[in-house]
Amino acid sequence: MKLRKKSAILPALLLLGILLFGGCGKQGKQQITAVEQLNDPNYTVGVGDGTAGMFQAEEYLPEAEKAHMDSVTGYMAVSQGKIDAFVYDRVMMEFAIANGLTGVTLLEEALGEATDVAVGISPKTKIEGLTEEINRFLEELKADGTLEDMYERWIQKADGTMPDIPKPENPDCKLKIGTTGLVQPFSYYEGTELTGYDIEMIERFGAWMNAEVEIKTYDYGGVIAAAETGEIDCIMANLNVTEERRQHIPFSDPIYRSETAVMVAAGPEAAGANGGRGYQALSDFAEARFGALNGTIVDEMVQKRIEDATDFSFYNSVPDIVAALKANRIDAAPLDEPIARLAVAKNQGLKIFEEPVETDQYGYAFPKGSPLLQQFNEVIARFWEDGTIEAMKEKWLGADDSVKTLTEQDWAGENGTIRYYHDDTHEPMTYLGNSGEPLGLEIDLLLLIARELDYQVELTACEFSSLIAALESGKADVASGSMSITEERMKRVDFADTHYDAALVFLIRDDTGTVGEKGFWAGMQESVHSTFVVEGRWRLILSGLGVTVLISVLAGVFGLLLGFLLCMMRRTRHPLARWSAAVVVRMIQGTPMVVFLMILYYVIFGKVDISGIVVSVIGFSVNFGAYSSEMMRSGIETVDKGQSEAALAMGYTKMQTFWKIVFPQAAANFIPVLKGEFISMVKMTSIVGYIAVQDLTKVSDIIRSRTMEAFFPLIVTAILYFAVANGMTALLSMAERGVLPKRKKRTVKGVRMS
Amino acid sequence: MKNQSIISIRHLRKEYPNVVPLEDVSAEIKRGEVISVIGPSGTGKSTLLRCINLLEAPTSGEIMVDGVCITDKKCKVNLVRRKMGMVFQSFYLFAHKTIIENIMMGQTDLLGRSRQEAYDRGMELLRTVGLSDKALAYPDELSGGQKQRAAIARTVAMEPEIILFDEPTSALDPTMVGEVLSVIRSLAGQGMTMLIVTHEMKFARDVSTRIFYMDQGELYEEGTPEQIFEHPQRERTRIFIRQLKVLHAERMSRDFDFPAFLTRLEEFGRKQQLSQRQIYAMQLVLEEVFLQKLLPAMEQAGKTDSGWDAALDVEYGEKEGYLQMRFSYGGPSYHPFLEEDDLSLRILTGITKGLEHRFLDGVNDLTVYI
Amino acid sequence: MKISKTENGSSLCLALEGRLDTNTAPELENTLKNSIDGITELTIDMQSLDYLSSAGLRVLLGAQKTMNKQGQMQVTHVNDTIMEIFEVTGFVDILTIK
Repeated sequence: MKLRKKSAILPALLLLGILLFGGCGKQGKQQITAVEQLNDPNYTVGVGDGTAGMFQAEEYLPEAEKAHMDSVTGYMAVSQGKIDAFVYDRVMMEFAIANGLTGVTLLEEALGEATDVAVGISPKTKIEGLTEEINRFLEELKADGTLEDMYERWIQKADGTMPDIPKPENPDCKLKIGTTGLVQPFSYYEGTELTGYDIEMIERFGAWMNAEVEIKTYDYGGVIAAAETGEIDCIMANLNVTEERRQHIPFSDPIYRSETAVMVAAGPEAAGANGGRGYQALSDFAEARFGALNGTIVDEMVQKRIEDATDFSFYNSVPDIVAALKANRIDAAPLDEPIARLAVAKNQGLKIFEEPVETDQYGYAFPKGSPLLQQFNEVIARFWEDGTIEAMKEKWLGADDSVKTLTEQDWAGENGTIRYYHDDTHEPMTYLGNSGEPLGLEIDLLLLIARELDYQVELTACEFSSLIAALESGKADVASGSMSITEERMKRVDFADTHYDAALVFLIRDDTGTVGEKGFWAGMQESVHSTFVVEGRWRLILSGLGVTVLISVLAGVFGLLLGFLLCMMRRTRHPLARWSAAVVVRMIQGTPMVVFLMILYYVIFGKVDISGIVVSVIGFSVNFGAYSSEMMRSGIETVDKGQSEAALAMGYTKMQTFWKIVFPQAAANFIPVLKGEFISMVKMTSIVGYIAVQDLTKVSDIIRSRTMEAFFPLIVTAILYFAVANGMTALLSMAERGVLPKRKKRTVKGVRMS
Repeated sequence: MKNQSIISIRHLRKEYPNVVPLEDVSAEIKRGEVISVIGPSGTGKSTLLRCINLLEAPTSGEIMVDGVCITDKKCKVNLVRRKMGMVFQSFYLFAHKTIIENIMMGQTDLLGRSRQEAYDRGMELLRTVGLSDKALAYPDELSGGQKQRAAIARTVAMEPEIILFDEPTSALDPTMVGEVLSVIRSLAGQGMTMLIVTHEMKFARDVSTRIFYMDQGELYEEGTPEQIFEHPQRERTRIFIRQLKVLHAERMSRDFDFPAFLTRLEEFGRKQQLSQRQIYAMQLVLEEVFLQKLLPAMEQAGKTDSGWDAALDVEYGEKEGYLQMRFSYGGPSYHPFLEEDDLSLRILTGITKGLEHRFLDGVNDLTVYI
Repeated sequence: MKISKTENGSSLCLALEGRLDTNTAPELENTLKNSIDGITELTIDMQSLDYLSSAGLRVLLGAQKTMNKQGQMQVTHVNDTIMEIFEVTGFVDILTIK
């Protein structure tokens, strides 16, 4: 016993040592703050395979070691310290960070010159004058401001809503457009739907050309090749124009300019707010970068509390502020509490700092001496108690916009009509909806109050600065608009008791809440949520799983049949049949599956419009068939020939002998081996992403590109493959038992035994 | 007619690229006969059997089975085979089926019997061969003797007209040979027509109605057991039956390499584990007969241009324990030891059991019994 | 066959080694012819003799006849088989075997 313990300690120490030293590697190098630092053979720079960034890295960072990888892998690698930097499109990386990628930051400096983004065009397209069409289309979009609007919506505001673009009813041609589907916000998956800037452009172009559009997804390396071979007509995938790419395919006129940025591991300062310790008190915000709304005086209000707070940037809208906060361009945004609450509800990764800068109370304003005041106060008091106000907050401060409609005025209003003037820009309190209809917590609340008091309400939208004047001039009976109850104002108007405890709060990133701090299970729950639940991603996983299962099963069945055929061919006396089967088998066994698939897809079926799934089934059937035939052959060979002789001598024909005597025993020999080979094949199908098939592995990539998580989606993928492979093997085992009755059985079927 | 031939073989020949196991074999096998095929190894005995049921394709010749010419290209081989059963040296039971299933398979698949009927007959057969308790066992659970008995039951279940046995006990442990032979014996007793290739001489003698002795690719001699075993007519039969060990020398003349042959003689003696005295006696015989008598006589005849030479056969029969040397030579009838006082003769007479001279068909035959 | 001569005045001992047969008998005959003059005692030692045939017997007979006139001859160390030959041929009476 003692000896065992001792010998267990040594490997444990070894393991510990490896972990420690492994972790130490990261801290060897200094923090990277400038691009030239990377131009050094000691540094490894990740580049997106086939992207503009890759070419720029080669030109501007010739000394650095380059590692080729896709974007999701690149982000993970930087944050885990496996590479020193990752070079990619700036916008896409900002989105990644906004989506929750932690531990990284982008250098201010861009890599190289900004390049144009344009539509890549296939030199082999069958559509006449496609280039001119695209250029005219782009002209139009530029001219009518659509392009700018798209840019604003998708990139600046990060508003991920695809507008409704009607598909052509009677298309007169067919367009195949390639994109990547892995880069937010240009082309990515929301749930099971492709969406993004480029997707919108694709749909618009389709409508413009009156064409039926088929969208095909590839990675950046593959999409150029696809255009070159004419498999797609054009590429809309945030494609940078580079000299090298021009040599392969023509481009349209430029759409906009994009910058290549450099992502590096975040130093300890940026590792978390306030040097990683998180903000504990308001005073911690002294060095913070603030973002405020244009036209407000929050900067003064903040400075009253925090003297040294001087770094303020001003933005035009709340979404702009939110985007900047997410992209780590600002650290805190002083906002009215209801607005901040709304932002938190609608955005991941944000939270409100507990201590408010200033507290505030909102109230409905009345003309001095209004008789309504008393009545309002009574109802308000009641509403505080019975939870109506709480319900209102939930309704109007939540993320779900669909419930945000005003209560209908379906009561008589015996007591008359209240003229209610309200501001229209203070979401969520008082604002206008998409069709100009009034919406807001305060309005809804007022309607409820009016219902209690049996008044009808007449709504008038009005500028905030004019509200008090409206009351004083007698045009309004009541007014509101996130109006704080202040001494100044009380000189001019009366306020009802407050219906909302407001405050000026700091909206900050919720990046102190890492998985580790949340605790393992909470983090796991979150991962499950983001991998499966958000945007119904489980549907995406299911579809990928379905593709993998489909390819595996079909390839298994066809492969077995093909294998049997090849096996029989090699056993005949006909020398040509024997020789050709042997050659086929040798060739297949000698070719890596990836290469074989790509040869099938891009060379053999290059000119044929064929689905990647069909090619995958063909490819894997052939591969599985070759291996199966060898296994069957050896299985058959191990059955001793004497039994065949005995059967023939009894009068069995060759066929009968084969099927009744040789084959069942051969099967007992080769089925176990086949099962193993089948599992291998199931796992091998993970490469079909190369030929644009969306299998389980590809789907996992897509989800990872959205959630920025490495661990969970990969583990889930692995588990699913395991489940598929083993599930199928279990089925095979059942079949096996059917063909070879278990030896345990000691009865004779269909017979009365003596 | 009951006594018609069930199998007729005419000038059967089987050739392989570098060996001809069957030169020219013709035979008739009648119903009810039990024929044992014996002979030295590699003389085509198994090939003969395997040609009869076309497991080997004859190179030329004709085989008729029950009136059907099976060497005809149009013949439906598998149907003919159903009339013939074969029991193999290595049993060849179907490994993936139980014993009873092995026996049932052919019946249900080829004879169209119902499973129940096949089962019942199978169990009955297993009982007769003493394996009813092994019905549900798999072949790899049985001993060699049990496997062979099961294989025989499998064959009998098909109710063949004739059963071919290809060295049925050669692969068996000596302790298990008996149980299989007794099954074969009882089958013979029931009147089954059988053709058995075997090395079990005693068994062949007991059970057969006829013996085929095959040697050098042909049916060298055939006859009843008594004829073949007691009075083999032809030389090689004799040698085989008696399990004789033979040493042969040819063209013994003046140029004969005597010392070399002496060595051979000595080696032969050692190999057969003959006594020193026997080896001495052989050498003496050689010297006294050949050197002292025959060689001078040869030389004499050679002068007159009517030369002849001699051949020697040394035969040793271990079983019977006899040793003889037979000189055959040409020339006129000549007995070299006619003088009583001949010293050579005196030695020979003293050391050996005697000698004999014959002159037949122009050939002198001098046999010395040691 | 090897013949070892040992002369001692008028005694001659010939030790024979090997085979005394048709081929080697002349050799013994020669040796005897050359050495037998004036010998009164002749010993043929057959200790190492493996084989003896009629040819050997004849030579021995000749030697015995010669020695009968001029002295004695004896044959020594005869093995069993050769002894038997002497017996069945009656040479046991002709030769002096010790």
